[in-house]
Amino acid sequence: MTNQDIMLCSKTPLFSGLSYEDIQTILTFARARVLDVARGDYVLMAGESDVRTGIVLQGMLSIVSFNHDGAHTITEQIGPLETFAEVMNCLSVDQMPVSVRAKQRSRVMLFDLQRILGLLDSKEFGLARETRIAASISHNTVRLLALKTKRMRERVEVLSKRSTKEKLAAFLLQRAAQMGIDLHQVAGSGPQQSTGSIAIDTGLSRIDLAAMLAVNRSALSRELSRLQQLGVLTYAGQNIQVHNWLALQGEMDEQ
Amino acid sequence: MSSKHPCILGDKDVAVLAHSSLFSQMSAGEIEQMVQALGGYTKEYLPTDIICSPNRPFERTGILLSGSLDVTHMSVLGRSAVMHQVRIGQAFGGQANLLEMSIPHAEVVAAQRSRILLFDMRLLFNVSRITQVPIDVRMTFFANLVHAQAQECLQLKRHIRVLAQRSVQGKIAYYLLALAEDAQSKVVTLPFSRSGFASYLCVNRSVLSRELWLMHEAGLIDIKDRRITLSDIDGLIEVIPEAWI
Repeated sequence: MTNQDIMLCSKTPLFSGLSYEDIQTILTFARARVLDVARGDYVLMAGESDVRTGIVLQGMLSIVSFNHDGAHTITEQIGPLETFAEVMNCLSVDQMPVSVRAKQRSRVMLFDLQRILGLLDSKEFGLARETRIAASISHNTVRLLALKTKRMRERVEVLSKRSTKEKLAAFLLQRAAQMGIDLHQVAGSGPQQSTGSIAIDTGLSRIDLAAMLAVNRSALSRELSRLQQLGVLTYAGQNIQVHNWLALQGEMDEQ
Repeated sequence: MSSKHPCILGDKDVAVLAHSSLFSQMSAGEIEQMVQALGGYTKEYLPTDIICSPNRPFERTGILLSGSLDVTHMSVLGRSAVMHQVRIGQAFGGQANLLEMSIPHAEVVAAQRSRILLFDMRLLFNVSRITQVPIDVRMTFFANLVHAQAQECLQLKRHIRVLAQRSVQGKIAYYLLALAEDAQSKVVTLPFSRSGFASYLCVNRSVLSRELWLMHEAGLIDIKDRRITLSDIDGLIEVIPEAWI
């Protein structure tokens, strides 16, 4: 574990507000270890009993699940400074239900979050510094879980739409809201509407975007092409530029 | 008009809270102690009173003590409305309270005369205030909170995997297999009505009924009201094009 690793950890929601020394103390206690993994290597395997919380320090990981005949599906991608497996670790599950694989060369920290949370109950953990650390880490943990819940709710909202166009529209509207764009203002009447063109960097290839929306890749391409022809948006690579938010909203068949 | 009262919890209130996930494994005295430390108070609402809306930040976690509440989800442009009800003993607003934001795109309205316990979850991490509560009591509450959040994440993860299935039969099969795994049994009981199940799967009720019948005819499942027997597990797994986890 290098100084750089600890500095990177300090930028994650879990260690927010804690000093370098505090983080070092916690990670040592939580038996943290750092792994350098090549593309395609597994960080955690499905069925593994040693369930740890992980932080991506560099690179990108995929959460992978396998079906009965060995085919796999990527269910989630974890980028730099994002955490994974914390829910399983908090629930003390017996074994990992999914595998975590490096999508590219990555550096990952694994540690036992349950052991950190156990600190709060420790009799020796009554000194001022430790109490402060414990309060911060417990606050950060529940905030992290709340953030995770919020993101999952957003994903459910997109997937609950029935057609490809509804899902795509919901996804783009959500991304804009996450970017802090006030769509009421952008989509409102008057001059703002004509100048309300906003670029959304999806950060996803066409295949990954189709997987994220749980739609067929060719159906997604058709839909993007149709919306481009209508002047609602233009797209290139991972970027989608939305020109008419009201028309996009109109694509969503309200439930 | 709503009215706010200092936190005097009656026996019925404490009984409701003792059955809620946040106050599980806590005695009546411990519940009252914890509620006080979190700045708890009760508030009564009349039908149609708005408890929170996107334009009205909600800096508290609520637990419904009596009555009933409707939650309406709005799309980012203010349209769309999917409703569900808050049950007695159920918490709401905790995520917004912890993340210090308004409940995104949702409005919570009293469906009937309702009484709600409101408290500030953030005070759990206020060292000077929370240390008035014995460590074992606050540890129980903290463990309950983390457990409830993690369980919610797990349920949402399952919902995502169900919705990610491309066919209606795939969604049904995935959900039933998950229930069977939880119950460690081939016989499962749906926690919803038929229309509630259709709403969870995001499909039409008539489409759901047709697909359930087709699965029954194919010998995959046997249905008796809310009880469903998974007659052919391997067959159900084959229905799922996406991976089963």
